[in-house]
Amino acid sequence: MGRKTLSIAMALVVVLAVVAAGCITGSTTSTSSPSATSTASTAPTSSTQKQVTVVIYGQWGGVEGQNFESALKVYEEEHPNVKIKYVIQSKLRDAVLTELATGSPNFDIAILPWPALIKELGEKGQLEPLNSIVNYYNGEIQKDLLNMVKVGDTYYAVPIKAWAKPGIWYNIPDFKKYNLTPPKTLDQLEQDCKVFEEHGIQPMASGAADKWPLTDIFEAVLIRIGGPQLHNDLMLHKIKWTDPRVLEAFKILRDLIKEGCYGNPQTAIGEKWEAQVPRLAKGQVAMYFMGNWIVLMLEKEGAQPGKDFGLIPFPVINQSAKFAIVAGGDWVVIPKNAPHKEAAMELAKWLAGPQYQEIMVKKKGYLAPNLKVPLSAYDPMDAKVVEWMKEYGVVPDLDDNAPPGFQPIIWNKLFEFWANPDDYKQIAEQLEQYAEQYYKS
Amino acid sequence: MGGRRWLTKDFFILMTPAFVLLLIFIIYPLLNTFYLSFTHWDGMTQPKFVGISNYREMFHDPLFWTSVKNNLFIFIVFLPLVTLVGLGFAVLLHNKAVFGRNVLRGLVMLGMVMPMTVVGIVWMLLLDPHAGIVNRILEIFGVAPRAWIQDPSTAIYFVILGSLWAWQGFTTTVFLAGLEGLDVEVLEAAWIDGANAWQRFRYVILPLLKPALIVVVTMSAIYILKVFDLIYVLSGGESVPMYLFVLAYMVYYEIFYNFRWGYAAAIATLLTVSVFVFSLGMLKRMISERGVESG
Repeated sequence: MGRKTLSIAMALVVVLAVVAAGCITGSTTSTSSPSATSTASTAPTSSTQKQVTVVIYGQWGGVEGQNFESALKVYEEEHPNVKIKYVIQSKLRDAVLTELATGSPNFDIAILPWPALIKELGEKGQLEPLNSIVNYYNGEIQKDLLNMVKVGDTYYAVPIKAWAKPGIWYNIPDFKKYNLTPPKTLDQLEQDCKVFEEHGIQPMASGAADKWPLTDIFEAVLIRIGGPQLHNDLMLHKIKWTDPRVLEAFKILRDLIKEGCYGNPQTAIGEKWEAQVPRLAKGQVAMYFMGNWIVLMLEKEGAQPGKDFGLIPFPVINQSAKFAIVAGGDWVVIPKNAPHKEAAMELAKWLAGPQYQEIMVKKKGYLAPNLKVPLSAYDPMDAKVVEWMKEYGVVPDLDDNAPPGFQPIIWNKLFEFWANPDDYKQIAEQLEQYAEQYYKS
Repeated sequence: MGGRRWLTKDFFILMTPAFVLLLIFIIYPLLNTFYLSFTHWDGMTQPKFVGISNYREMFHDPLFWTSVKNNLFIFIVFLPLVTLVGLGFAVLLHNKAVFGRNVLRGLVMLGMVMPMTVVGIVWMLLLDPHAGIVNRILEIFGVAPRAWIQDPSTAIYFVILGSLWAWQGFTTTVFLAGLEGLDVEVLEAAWIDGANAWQRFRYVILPLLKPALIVVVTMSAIYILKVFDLIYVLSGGESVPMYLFVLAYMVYYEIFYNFRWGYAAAIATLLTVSVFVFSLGMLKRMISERGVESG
């Protein structure tokens, strides 16, 4: 083989490789034009003839994932031409963003719990507007949850699950054993903490190692200081993190941490949130501020609602502050370039409807954003949460609705606060500096 | 021209698949990352060319400097530690008098064969403040339990310790291979000349292990400069605390939380260049050592 032939052969190989690599780039850049989307949308998936496999990305695993898959079977039975593949993505954000960046995602539907991210993706033309589904259910879907994903007049997602962080779950036998009543005020909470501490029971758990539970506790204190208005103002950065009322929230928590209400400060920061559920069920921890989803987990530990565990709102701090419950949800989104958009739209419509949501509600630990689901379908503890939501009103989750890059900063800074509660002023200042940067952009 | 006799048809046929794969999966992404580092790109809209603005921003970003500081601290502590531990284990396991040394050789490799996520989970379980065995043992000696991994004052040391546990299998293996390959006659000559064990190690074995040492230092440096997974797992996934930020995590954070692919590409480029420059330096050194040996 002559040198010339070899050179040509090598050049051909290089060209081929670059073309192949270029295909990757090509698809990358195609993302960038959101308007040039929709070839896949008209793919002949239709619902009546061809067999279609709709791929859903989500992060529900364990019992929740199994319940979801069993509910999907109902849809498959009713739509024999549709197969649904549910893929649990432990790194859901990474998977969704990476695939959207390639311009040809492998999924038709993603279940996302981040409204701020959904809005950002919608604004950048990555998601299909779902107004048709919202209009179809005309007023049946909880407005608060819909508004969280609305940009202008466009809804970029529909909620298919709601959750709430209603208050403190407490171990009833622990309270009975020491003749204590569940605290209604901050003073009572501090007194109860002292009694539990004296008897070697950790008064409250925080789940600090996972960081996000700390924002929930912080939000509860904030609401009890200045009501939903203060919470909302901080979420939208209408007030600063160094506002005296925000600093008061830090100070109250600092005192609780230093008094040992959250156990030994040196070990409290290492507590994973899920590991605290069995501790609460066993009475090793007396109280735990957490979302409604732990009902199912507590029952799995053998604890019975009303007998072994109960629920109270976070104790009153400022009598004049209106109470509200932090609530959020999981939303379905459909990418503009979804492989089977038509079938995905049909399925999303069903997921946003009362039939699917009633199935899930009956499996417990699940609140329905569709108001057509009757209260009688709920487990008594979940029904109580739903009633509270109606009675007190809901506010969106602060960190979930903050700019996406700011969310982990809130988590991290509150974690640093938990580790060094005396540094709260410095931490509030740092949070403010970051907030100015993120809310400006 | 006789030196190019290896440029045959077979050579090209055999090299082509590897070359194509290298081009698609290494060279192209590298060049593309380099290009992206000069753009503003959110991963969704068209990249916009911005010149060196990402690099300029990087040097004014406090988070970048925190990451550099952490990377350097981990690098400086880890590198001598993993080298010494590897050398120590290798010398120990080379000794035929050590009971059950074959089993021990397998155990030493355990950390290396485990995926880093598993290593992270094992460490978390061991160091759990309530159920972890480490705190239970320390309690016996009167040390109060602590959340070692999460505590801002101790967290970085446990990243180093976890990395050491995982990586020392590699360094031990390389040093062991070096020891096995030593010329016995040279050692015997030193022994006959009256050198004691320490003198034999210091003046005969260690100089002969230099090539192995260079491999260990180079590979360990590359490994630790890219550290990401262990920090990610130990921090519980999505929320690595700022006091544990390293450059590799910052790349991830800028992409998936701030949608700043261009800025992340600039950091990735800098990291790649640092690793490349260090490796090149070590490689040159190795080649010159070989040159001295053979020359």
